[in-house]
Amino acid sequence: MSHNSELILAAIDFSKLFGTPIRAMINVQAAVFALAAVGLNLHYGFTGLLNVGMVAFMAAGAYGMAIIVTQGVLGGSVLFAILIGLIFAAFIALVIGVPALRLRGDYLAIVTIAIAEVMRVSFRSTKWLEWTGGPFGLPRAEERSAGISLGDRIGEDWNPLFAADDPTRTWGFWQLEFNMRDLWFMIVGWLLVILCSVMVWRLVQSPWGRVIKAIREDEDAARALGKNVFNYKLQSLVIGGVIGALAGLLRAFSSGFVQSDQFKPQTTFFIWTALILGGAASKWGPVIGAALFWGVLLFVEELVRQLVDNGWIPEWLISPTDVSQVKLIMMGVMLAGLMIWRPQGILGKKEEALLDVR
Amino acid sequence: MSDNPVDHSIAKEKAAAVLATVADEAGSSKPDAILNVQNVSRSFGGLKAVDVKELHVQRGIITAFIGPNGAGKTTFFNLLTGFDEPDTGTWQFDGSELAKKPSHSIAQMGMVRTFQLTKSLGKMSVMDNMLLGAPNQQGEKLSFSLLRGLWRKQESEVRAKADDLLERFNMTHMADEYAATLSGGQRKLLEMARALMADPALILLDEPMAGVNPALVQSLLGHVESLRDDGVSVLFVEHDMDVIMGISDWIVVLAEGSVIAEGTPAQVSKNPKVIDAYLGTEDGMAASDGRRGEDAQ
Amino acid sequence: MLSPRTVRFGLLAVLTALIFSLLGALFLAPPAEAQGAILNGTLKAQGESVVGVVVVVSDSAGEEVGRATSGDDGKWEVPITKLDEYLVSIDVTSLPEGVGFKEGATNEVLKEIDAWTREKFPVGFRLEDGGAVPLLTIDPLWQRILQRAVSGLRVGLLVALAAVGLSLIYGVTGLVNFAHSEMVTFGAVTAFGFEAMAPSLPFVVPVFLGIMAGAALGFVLERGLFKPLRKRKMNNISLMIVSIGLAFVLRYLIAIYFGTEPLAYKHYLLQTERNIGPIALPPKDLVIMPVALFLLVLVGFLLQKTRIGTSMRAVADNPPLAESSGIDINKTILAVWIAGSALAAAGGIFLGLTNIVEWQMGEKLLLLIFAAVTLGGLGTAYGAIVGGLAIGMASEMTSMVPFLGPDFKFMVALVVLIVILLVRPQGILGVRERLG
Repeated sequence: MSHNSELILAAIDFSKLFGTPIRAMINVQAAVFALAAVGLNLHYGFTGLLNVGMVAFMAAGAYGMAIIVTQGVLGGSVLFAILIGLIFAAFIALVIGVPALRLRGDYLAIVTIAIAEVMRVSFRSTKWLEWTGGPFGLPRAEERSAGISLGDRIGEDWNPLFAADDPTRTWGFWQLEFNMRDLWFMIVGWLLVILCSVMVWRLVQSPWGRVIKAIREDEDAARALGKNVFNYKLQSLVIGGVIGALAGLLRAFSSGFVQSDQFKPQTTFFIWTALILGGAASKWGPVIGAALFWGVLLFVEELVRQLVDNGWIPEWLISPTDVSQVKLIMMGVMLAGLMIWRPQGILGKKEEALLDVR
Repeated sequence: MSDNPVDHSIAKEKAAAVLATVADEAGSSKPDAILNVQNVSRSFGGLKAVDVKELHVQRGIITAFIGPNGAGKTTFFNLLTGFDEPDTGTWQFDGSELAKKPSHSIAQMGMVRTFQLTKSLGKMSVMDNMLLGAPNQQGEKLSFSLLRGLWRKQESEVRAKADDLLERFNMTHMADEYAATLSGGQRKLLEMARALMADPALILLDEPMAGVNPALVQSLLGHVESLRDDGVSVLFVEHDMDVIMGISDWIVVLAEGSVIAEGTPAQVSKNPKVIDAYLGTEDGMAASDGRRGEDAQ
Repeated sequence: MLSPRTVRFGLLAVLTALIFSLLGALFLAPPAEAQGAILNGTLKAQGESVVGVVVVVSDSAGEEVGRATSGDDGKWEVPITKLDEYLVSIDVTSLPEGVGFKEGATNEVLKEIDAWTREKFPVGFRLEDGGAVPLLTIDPLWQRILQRAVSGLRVGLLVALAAVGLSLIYGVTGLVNFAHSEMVTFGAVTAFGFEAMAPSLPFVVPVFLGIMAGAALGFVLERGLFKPLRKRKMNNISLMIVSIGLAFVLRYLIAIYFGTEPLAYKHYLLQTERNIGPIALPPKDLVIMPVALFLLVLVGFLLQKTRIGTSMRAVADNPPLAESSGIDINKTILAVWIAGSALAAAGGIFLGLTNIVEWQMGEKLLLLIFAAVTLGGLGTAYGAIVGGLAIGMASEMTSMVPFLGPDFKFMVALVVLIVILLVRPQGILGVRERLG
């Protein structure tokens, strides 16, 4: 080992280098993305729908719930609000699906991004500030600075781990210490992920799923076999959309707020990368993909940060403020690289991966 | 499964008997028509691709659609089965009006088609392809699909039927292979077998012999004739004259989008209008008369 | 050259967008009544508040609506309840000793309230040394519309420049290139860099270099990335996803090496608007718009009169036929990438001139470009131009509708995009058979 590499190794804080990504892999955020990826997997992996607007469903779920809670409908019942969020997402799926599902692949992609952006801009607009909180989001500014968060009910009242007299108690070891709220959301979140993954898998293994897979490959063949292709695509869109809404809800509750910046196209692309990384059209691909996605991204970010801080990467190349952008470059490289060299991702099957142009 | 040539002659004679009373004119009426077509037309740009004023297809026989390239045969098929929208026209299948019906509905009604470029689903197994062909599966409904108990029984019945058909077509050993690994001819067989899962009353084969290894052609033909023997009405488009002359009970000749002649193989081969339409083409009538060399340009 | 049908459609599109937005601006009737609106102001003379001055407000019929006296802070307010043209006047007898109006100025201001865009409508008088200048001059409606139309034309030209490349690349290769927006940013940013390196050179030089840089990037991407990938038989959907990844890489490289701070070209930091007839335009627009138009016309010329342009059209129309006619497909593809990227870079530089240069400028434009291209017809350059102009006009004109905020400019483009895709996916100039 050369002198230089010893020096580099000595300067690196391995605990943080590995701890940060591992923490990211099991954190709530990974669960949120895993859930969204499960929904996208049904859309794209199994049905072949190029939905590049997954955030629209997440926003529908999150904002739907937040608006109901903020308006105090039914006494601010969280369960009711969740229900409304899910229904709203299903509604959005219908609104997108009925006209857009006739469109060819790349056109569907553009329409879905456009609709997601329309929703985001609408939620951000000051026009409906009363309801949506405008650019600031919900809960509104005054309430949020008073410490009110959307996640209080679930994160505290319904949290068996939470002790009101010791709210900042943490559990864990090494870099993986979490407070009781986060821990609870992690448990609930990953349980949801597993539940939805299993459900989607069972759907896909059923005769219904068989039709879906046929549609993915060749719609006309499915029609010639008497299958009402449009209905199936719509059903898939709705179910995947509702799962996406669950992801949005999980994020809203765990972070405590909703805000339009959470629903930019960038997030949709993250979900895509996670799905392709894990392997579209596989059972656990979305889960593995989401966890690994954040793990790799944060590992690279942490590594670069440490190398920059220690001077091993010169400032003219990457300065400390640039470090967080590096992970996005990494994401772009990952997405492109995967499509080129391993489109089936980790768990996918090569034969199924390469979609024909429709 | 058996190598013994199946005897199609009984069915063939029966068909001939029924057709004996039918006039060999374009648009002639049939004693028991399963498909009736009125005034169906389709234009692309300024060109009229299909213009069929009247057509009746007799039940239970093998009807061939022939015509020079560009005569509009596949377009006509697409129109009849809902894969394309005509500019004008109506047509009825077994009494039910089909105009404006979507393709999947038409398939569900018992009028099933295959494609010239086979649409066997390569990324799915042969068995899955077959299972897809069965109609009215409870498990295909979203509300039933999650509870396996609700569709398990029907699924095994469907699977048994698929096994039978695969055996009949000699493909049992391929059941679990991806359909993409099949040869061209095997894929044609698969598509035919798959279409039969629906117990169709009328099956439309779009160039079933195209791209098939000549060695397999006879076997395929035998299957087509067996369809008729079992009472399924067969409509098929083909170019190869030998094939057509060999197995058709009735022939409809299209040229430039319209029906110019109908009749038994014998009648059609002597029809001057038909000879005109084919004059100069290699797969012309001359070939079957053995006069190819003389009439070559 | 262009078939009469094409020209008709193009005119129809632009006309439709114009009419649509004009109608929107004029006829989305704002509510006649409103609560809580006021005319107000602060009276000061040389920085000192003027107390005790009486302000009288009358409506267009001459009826007095209200009057107020300026308080200790010089402030006065008069409530109003309807849309009207109000006469606001100062009762000169109430002016304190030594305070008056500027010579030639009057004690009266006409204030038109035509929409409830806000609650308070300020009216100002500056009282100094016996002088008063009404602070607000209101342009008549038609002038505002014209101003917006010109603005729309400018936006439209820039969008068109960026969109042509995207449409051509799609037409010739079938690829929906998500990274195209970053070409726009790249052009603006490299021009900025060139300007910074040699600030004394005339601005044309960095502009030219920026466009060349864009062309070069297009060349590199096509030869270095997309051609080898096409050779590997990757289908267009996969390539589209690759282009999404590429967009991220380019965007964040720019974020790192240009920075996240929005910056302006030194040569044209801030220009005062000059009046050309009824419209006010900064002089840079007077250069940008004709140049952009010229570039677009150049594109048309290229497509119609040159061999490479004809092959572009041929390949976009019918690839196998084009190939069998002896057209070198690869050369044609390279040509569209170079030309398209150069145009996008030009669009970016002009956008940087009219607004500002920042790392997200392309990203913000992306959906507008998509809207333009789909409206006009994916695959045709003329479609992109028509679409770009229409989208530019429509989005600028709708910001005139008081009801909608500036957010909705963007929304209009998106809504157009969605509607077109659902109703006529091939766009105005596209051909039906190209789909599916």
